Amino acid sequence: MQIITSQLFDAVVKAAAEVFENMFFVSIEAAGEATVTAEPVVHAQIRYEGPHSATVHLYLPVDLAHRLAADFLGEGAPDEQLVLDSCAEMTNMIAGRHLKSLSPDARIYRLTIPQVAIELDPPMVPETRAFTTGSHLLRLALDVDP
Amino acid sequence: METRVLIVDDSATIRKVVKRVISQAGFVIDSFSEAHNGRAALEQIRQHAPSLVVTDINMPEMNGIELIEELKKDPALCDIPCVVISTEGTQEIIDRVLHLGIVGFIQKPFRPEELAPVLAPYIQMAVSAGTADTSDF
Repeated sequence: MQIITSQLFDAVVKAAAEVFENMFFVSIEAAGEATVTAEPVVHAQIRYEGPHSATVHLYLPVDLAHRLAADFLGEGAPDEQLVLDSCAEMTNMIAGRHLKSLSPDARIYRLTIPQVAIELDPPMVPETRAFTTGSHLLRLALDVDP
Repeated sequence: METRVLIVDDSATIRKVVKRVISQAGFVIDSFSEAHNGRAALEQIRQHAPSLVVTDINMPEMNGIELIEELKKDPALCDIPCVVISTEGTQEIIDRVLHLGIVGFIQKPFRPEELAPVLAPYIQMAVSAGTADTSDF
């Protein structure tokens, strides 16, 4: 299961890289072990169910979330609700792209509605990886059901 | 005839981006309306039919496929052109909504500036059709 989870995570990372590149013109680079920061983060998550079920988690520093949302919306300073909504949509797109990449049978997966909140020190799932974009550190996790 | 575009998505971000892109594309759109799911959209459409519906698929309460199915089985609303913008990009989903009679499918993620040329023919179609204004229903 570990190998399978690792392969799935690689696919999620690829999907996330494509979404960041396509939507926000930013690239993400692997940054090794993910560590918990004391900073509040925007935590967006979305669950999918099917032959295997899992939850994709995205943790973004609040200032990075504001910047990405502003760029995508074409607005100087979107309000916090819109920033959260942008992050939820980002996660939705990552999961959707991930499922499509799995196989033509991705049709048998069901994508749920994304959840998002600003959290201070959210618990990290075991499969969490860190990435950088510019000077920002973000985290991506895939929590696969046993 | 009034040209109205209804944007249906549970993401306020996507509704805002789609509206901005269409507004800046140079088409004469008289008004936009928005709905956060298929049920709210259907209520709006039955009150005042738009010229074009741009809808997501994955939404709470009533999804985009259910919305399109409802429109297509209503003789008063079945001719309203629908464009789907969704992360649900499997061929089965695309075939299903195309079979329902949608005029276009756009897959997320997209760059906002790339959306206008893709949406343009559908907006032009709605404008040229003189708009299927069924507001008296």
